[in-house]
Amino acid sequence: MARLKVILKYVAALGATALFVFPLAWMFLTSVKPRVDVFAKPPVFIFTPTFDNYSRVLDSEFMLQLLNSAIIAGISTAFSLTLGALAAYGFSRYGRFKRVDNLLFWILSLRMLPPIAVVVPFYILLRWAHLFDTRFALIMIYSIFNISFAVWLLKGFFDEIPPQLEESAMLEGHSPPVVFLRVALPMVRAGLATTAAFCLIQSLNEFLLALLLTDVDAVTAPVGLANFQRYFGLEWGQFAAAATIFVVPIILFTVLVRHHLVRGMSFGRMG
Amino acid sequence: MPDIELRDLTIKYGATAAVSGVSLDVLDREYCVLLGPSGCGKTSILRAVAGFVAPAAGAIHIGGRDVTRLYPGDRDVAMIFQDYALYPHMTVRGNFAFPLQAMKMGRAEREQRIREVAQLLRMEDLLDRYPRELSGGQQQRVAVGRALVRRCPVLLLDEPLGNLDAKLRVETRASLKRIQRDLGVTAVHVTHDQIEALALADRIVVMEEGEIRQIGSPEQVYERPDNLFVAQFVGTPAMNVLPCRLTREGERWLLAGAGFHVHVGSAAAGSTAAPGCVPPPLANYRDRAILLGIRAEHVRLAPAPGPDYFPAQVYVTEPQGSEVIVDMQVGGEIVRARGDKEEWAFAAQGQTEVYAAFPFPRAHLFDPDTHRRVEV
Amino acid sequence: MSAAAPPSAMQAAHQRYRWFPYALLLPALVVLVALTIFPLVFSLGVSLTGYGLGRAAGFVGLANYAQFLRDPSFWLALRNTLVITVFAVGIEIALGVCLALLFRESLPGFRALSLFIFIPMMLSPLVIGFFWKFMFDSTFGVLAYFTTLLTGRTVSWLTSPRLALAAIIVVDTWQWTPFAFLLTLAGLQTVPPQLYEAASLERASAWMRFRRITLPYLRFPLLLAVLFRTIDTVRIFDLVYIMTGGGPGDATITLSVLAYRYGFQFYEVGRAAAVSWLIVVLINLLVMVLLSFMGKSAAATARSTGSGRAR
Repeated sequence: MARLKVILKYVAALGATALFVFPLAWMFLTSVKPRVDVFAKPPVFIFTPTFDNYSRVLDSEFMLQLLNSAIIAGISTAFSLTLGALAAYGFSRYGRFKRVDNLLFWILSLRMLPPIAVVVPFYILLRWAHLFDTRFALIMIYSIFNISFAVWLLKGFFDEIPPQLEESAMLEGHSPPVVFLRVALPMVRAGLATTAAFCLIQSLNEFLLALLLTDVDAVTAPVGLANFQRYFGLEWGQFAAAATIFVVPIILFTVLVRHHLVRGMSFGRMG
Repeated sequence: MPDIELRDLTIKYGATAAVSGVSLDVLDREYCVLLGPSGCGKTSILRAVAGFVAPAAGAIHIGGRDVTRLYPGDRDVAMIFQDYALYPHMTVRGNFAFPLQAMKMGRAEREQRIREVAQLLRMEDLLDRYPRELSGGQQQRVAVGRALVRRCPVLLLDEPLGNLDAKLRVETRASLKRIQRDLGVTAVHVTHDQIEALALADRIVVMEEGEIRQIGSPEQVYERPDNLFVAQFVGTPAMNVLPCRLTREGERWLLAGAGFHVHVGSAAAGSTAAPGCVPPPLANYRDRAILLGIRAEHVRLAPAPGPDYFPAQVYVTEPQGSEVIVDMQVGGEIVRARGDKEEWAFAAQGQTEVYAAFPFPRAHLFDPDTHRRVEV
Repeated sequence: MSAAAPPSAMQAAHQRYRWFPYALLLPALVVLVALTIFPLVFSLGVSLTGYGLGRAAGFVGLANYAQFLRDPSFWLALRNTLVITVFAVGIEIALGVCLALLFRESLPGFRALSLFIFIPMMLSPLVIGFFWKFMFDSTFGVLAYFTTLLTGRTVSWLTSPRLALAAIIVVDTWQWTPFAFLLTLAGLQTVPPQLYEAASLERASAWMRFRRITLPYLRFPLLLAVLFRTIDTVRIFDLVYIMTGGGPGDATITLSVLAYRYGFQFYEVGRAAAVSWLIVVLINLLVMVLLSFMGKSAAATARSTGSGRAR
């Protein structure tokens, strides 16, 4: 009887997993289907795979858009991680004062900001400053959400460091900046990696701001995907290929942070 | 010239005062132990001396310098933490080297010091391990080594033996004392374990609720406790304390309590007062209540009645190797006596009627209201 | 937050390093303030003007806000947003809890399987939305194929108003059920196993066990899930934009999409700003309400589980 229960559990678990994996699997399958099979009715499950779609995508503008996404996400993450780590440490160690607590709460509330609320003023501002359609603009704007997220997440990691370690270092004659750099920071390596991964994922996935604040030069991958219909018509096969390429690093990052998934997700995402 | 001076030190956490107006001198090269229950303020004082907490009032001087507001790293003080606080991302060698890196020392000299400390603590073969790979005892030694590597004149210890098992505790105790002596450092050691305090200290500072209750050598604190708190805190098992009255019985005065009596100035013990007289300090307590304290090892037991002996019922016996602790009922109270197991075999075998006596010269008397010692 | 903790050594106000906390906090604060204060204030200002295509910005007071109350699109967007939020969040939580209960035992392989389940919530709604659009397509979509098989009729998901809204709810639920699953699973792992052992000794039924032991420990993670998902779903944009664009017609328009339309299709910037501010206010209200629930709930959880759990 117990055996039966276990089998049922496996069946249910596999079924549930299949449910959540199917669309992605179907997308991947579509990306290697010859054009004819993509649009076949009824849908085809057995076919001869081809990399045609991929070679078309690799030749297209999408690669440039991917590059933009990578650059913007990478630089914003690095920038936000630096400022965020400093601030998170500050809030963790000096956070007993009422004023400081309020400040922290304000920073955290930025996470709740709907991007739509900042799009219009940023649009006007960027146009006026001739920064419209630049990677720099997106990097800075993404940093609002990334810094906020980094502060929240890293503060939790810093809070977990036993205070005696820093006390010992202080007593030994190291100044507080050295204590931060050589004792606290190394101890939150996992937190830094986790935060970086989440920031990268969030920045790569962001759509609304990229859509409205870019035009040609700074177009990111999600916007590129959205414009697929415009450039490629109903080339779903190629879209599937582009989407698959886009999704692979994100899945990789997810696997990397699987141990801290709860932490990272409870503190949110952008947009 | 005292090495560490505390003047009217008050330390507050929020609105509560952990330490109130404490003044203390720790002499140069002295092993000073701050002893008391948790919450008594001893750790707060240690942390203030280290510089981890700023006192609300008062001053701290080390080696003649006012360090009250000084950054911990500028005080030339070393510390061994209760949980060792080893840097997990550095090897043992790294843990030793890190303090030295703050001291602007040449590489050669640094290596030299690390080698010396490793030799002193017999850790040469562990230098390249990480703290998580070491046993508790080894980690403790690394903590000691890291504190010694800078050769500071002052060493602070925050319950350094608390995490060790009983056997290791005793061994490490001895080595701590030896190191302190050999290196000639001034040590301030915080603990709640009074056996540890008695074993290690040159002077003990007994504290309760943010105040000092007594300062003295281990002998002084043990044999002449100033007040009830110290009397009962120091010594295992705790001192027996029983309420009684100083009353007259015919020509003699005695301390009479529920189920027991002690003749004041019994001839058998050779006291200074003549029978029939009351020693001068006790004069105020004639016909009044007073507290009698007697340590377990001073309680006398006999199988048969005798002068000054009163009946007691054996409750429980606790054999302790060559000794035995006998819990017995006297009046309504439990009294504990400690003695040689063979001599007291009569009590150990479940015989419920024995006879006990409290010799007056061994008695400690305390005022029932102020809890202060009454001298006789 | 840390009121009960003793002060850290860093706070002991050492003269020599008084500048350190400022050096830590100022860089991030300066950047954040510079980047946020301007747009927010500006946006508020613009929402009070008639800024639009070809029109000079003239102060019109609350006219933009007043216009909403008359604009049927606004009420439709509000309604759609609420419908989507309520249904999506509700189903996500229910499904997520079921999944968590299923996966809570560590049978071999379950860990790996659950990792697969976590992937959808990490992906861009663009990818997800667009691909579901493909699957829903009435001509060659695999889902349309199956629904035709099941119902015998040709079902056109994305071109019928009701079904389009349902489709969005389905996709959003699909993407975010893993989130509820994740939080609930984490919550389940905080239950001390001894409680279950004691319950089995006392022969409590499975339902009793769930109600009395498990549920109190789930209160907090579930509330957290509801809080975050509600805030996020109210802001929903990417998915709707890519799947239906708000259509057919206005059938699936949401508040964010409406703001987008005003601002970037009709160039009614003033109105767009006003809608944006409304969204901000709505979200702040939700946050406050749910935060106060969280506070009470954390206390209630602490009481009913006998543990002081402060976040």
